[in-house]
Amino acid sequence: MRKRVTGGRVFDPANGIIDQVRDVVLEDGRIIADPGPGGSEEVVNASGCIVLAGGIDLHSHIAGGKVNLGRLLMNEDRALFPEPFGDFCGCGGGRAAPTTHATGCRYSQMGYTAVFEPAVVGANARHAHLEMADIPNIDTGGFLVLGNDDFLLRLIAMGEGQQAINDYVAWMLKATQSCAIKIVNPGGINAFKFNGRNLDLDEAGPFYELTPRRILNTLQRAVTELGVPHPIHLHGCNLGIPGNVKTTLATMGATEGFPLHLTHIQFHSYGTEGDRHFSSGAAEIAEAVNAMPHISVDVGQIMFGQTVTASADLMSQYRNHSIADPKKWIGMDIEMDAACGVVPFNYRDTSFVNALQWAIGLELFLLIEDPWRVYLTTDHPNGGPFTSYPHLIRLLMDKPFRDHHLRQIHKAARSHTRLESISREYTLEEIAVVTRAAPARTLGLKDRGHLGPGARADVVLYEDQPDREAMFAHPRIVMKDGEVVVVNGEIVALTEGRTYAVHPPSDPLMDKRLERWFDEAVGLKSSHYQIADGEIRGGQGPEIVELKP
Amino acid sequence: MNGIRLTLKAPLTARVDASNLLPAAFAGASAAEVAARTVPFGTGVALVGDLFEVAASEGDALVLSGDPRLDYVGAGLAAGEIRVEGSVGAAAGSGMSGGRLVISGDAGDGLAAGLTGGRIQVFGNAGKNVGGPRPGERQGMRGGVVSIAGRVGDGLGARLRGGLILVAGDAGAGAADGLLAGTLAVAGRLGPGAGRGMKRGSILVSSAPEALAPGFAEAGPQDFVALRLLARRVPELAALFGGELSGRAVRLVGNRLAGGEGEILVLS
Repeated sequence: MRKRVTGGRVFDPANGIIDQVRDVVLEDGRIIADPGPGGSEEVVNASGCIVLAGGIDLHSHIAGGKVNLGRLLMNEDRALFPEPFGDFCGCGGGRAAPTTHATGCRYSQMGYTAVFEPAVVGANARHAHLEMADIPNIDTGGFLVLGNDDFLLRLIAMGEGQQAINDYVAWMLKATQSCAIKIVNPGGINAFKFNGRNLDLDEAGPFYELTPRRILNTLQRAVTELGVPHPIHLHGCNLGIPGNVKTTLATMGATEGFPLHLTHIQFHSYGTEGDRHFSSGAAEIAEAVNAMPHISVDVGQIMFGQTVTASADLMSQYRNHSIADPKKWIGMDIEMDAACGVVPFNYRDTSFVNALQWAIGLELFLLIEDPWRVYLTTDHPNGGPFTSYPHLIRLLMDKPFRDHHLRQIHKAARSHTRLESISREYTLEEIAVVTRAAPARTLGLKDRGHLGPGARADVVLYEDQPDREAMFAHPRIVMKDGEVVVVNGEIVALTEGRTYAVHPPSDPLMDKRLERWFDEAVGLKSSHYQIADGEIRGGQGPEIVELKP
Repeated sequence: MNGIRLTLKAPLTARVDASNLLPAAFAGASAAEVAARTVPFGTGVALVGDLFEVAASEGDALVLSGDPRLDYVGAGLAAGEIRVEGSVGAAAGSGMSGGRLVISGDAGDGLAAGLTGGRIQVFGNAGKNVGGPRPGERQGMRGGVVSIAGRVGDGLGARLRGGLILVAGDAGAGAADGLLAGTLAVAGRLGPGAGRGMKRGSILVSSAPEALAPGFAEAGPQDFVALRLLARRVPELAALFGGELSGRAVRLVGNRLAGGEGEILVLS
């Protein structure tokens, strides 16, 4: 059945269409060129609405071991935010650590149609995929965490060539059905196992004696040579440590010209000025990002309220566990190749540090000029639950609203931020870029994030109203693959999504080599570790993202 | 504020979450308005009026007829009184911070979980985990008074942090697990394995417990002036043990594997 979305103001920055009243025509799950009048079609009235492509969140922890540990640790979260009782839902719930069902429903209710899990550990990849398959209304994909795994560190330390590294990375991407490579604290998690408590960019780690810089550059080269569309997704060194702005700037300078994505950069933009030795480094970071077109960032904005942080960076989670609120935490090793720390946080606007973190995130959003290189995230759940996105969007779009909130935060923090002097307000076009077009572009998803012919028929109609928070919290209609799943902010249907993966080719000799390695060093066989296509989404198989030539 | 009486039309066929049936929520509402409210019923919702006959009643209390499938009765109660005629299901009085909950029959599991204030009185028996933590919490009941005329199930007062629990009957196994502070009084028999990981706090019992968790040491019979003062100050406690406390008790110190600042007093 053909559908015609008519009368709405279309914002499609990827195709240069900004605020034009025009029709969007959908057929068989795709957007098609307008065939003109005639033929049977269903008309969707979009008058008074703005029309956007489906939202894409490229960094949100929605599946996998640490998310499940978060649910286990924070089971009061589900009691506080149960799914509404009723004939339709009535199962699961939660905000900071929602169940799969609630994850899909809450995202879809805000107009999101694709969400990417940014930290899939190889040993837990099967679990992550099973969970992603269980999330309704949302397309998913996972980023594989490398950079602290013994096999890779050995390859680099023993001076094996780049080709061996590339084969290993390609093998791992396919084995875990992931769509990009993430590095969490390169070498740092490994150093933690040797009782290291921090590891700076140019500090050689224990045992392998590799610097984070070397690990980063090696993997950047691998990803580029393999043609993986998304650059290295880097959670850098020294997360959350005052003064880490220096490390972050050094990391940006260490890219050797390869593209690099720095994730939740808010947590990496702290200076040591002022009498509390904690200050905003947002201006320096933004200046560097503005000057380096090969760098992209997502912000990892913190939002006040209860949440739980879940990260593979056990080194920094161990550092933070003493300030857990409520007082409980989980830290664990995963197959000696990665780690995981889950620490509940309650960000308070009355806390100097939290208030300044909030301001630093907003400064970054507002000072980085090119919206195509900054993506809207709260690093769910680490900076705050993703359900706070509409509020965050209003903070970005509405200067008086922002100032109103700024006046309520900790007094000393207010004097440490230049937020009040920044007059920039995001336009609807810029919101369409940071929540849709830009993430799709960096992930290499050619048929997403825009409304041109051939794109997935994920279309969202938001009623234009001055309160942008209300507007983005309750879209009038959300269509996923052409099917209406949300009407007036309420779920009306559940559909199954798909999972994205990249399958770069690798030398068959790597199979043999890894078979031996798994037999010697890993708790399961290589053949069991690899996830077959048929295991993805109950036999549906992955959607393969095209490699860059 | 006028009272409301909710009488079940028939035994419940699915579990009902009664946490929004509170006197404060019904303040100023007419019987018809109350009947039009909804409650979670099974996996869906039901109108209060479909499950209950709603009528105005004398006094200020909310009077409910009980059912073993009626969960979360009085959960989150901050003020006012709820009287239940009959038994209730799980988690009655969970997270209550004030007011009064009176249950004429039995209570299910998780009675008074996370209680911070108010009084709960049960005339029948209570299930497992009385006064324990709510899901995800590190501490159990932190204040208030719970008195149970019958027996209670296993896990009484786990991680109790404050307040007073009075049990006239027997208590099941594993009472006072990880108890942090506060007072338990059991007039019947205290089940096996009590006091595992107990840090501080007091347990008053009328007869020597059969098998405590390892880690307790007997400090001999002593004369406690404090007990006589306590009996005067908290008449309910004295009443539980027959009207008055002599002050003579055998003191078992423990749990010494968890600091040993707690005690079990066997009254004589």
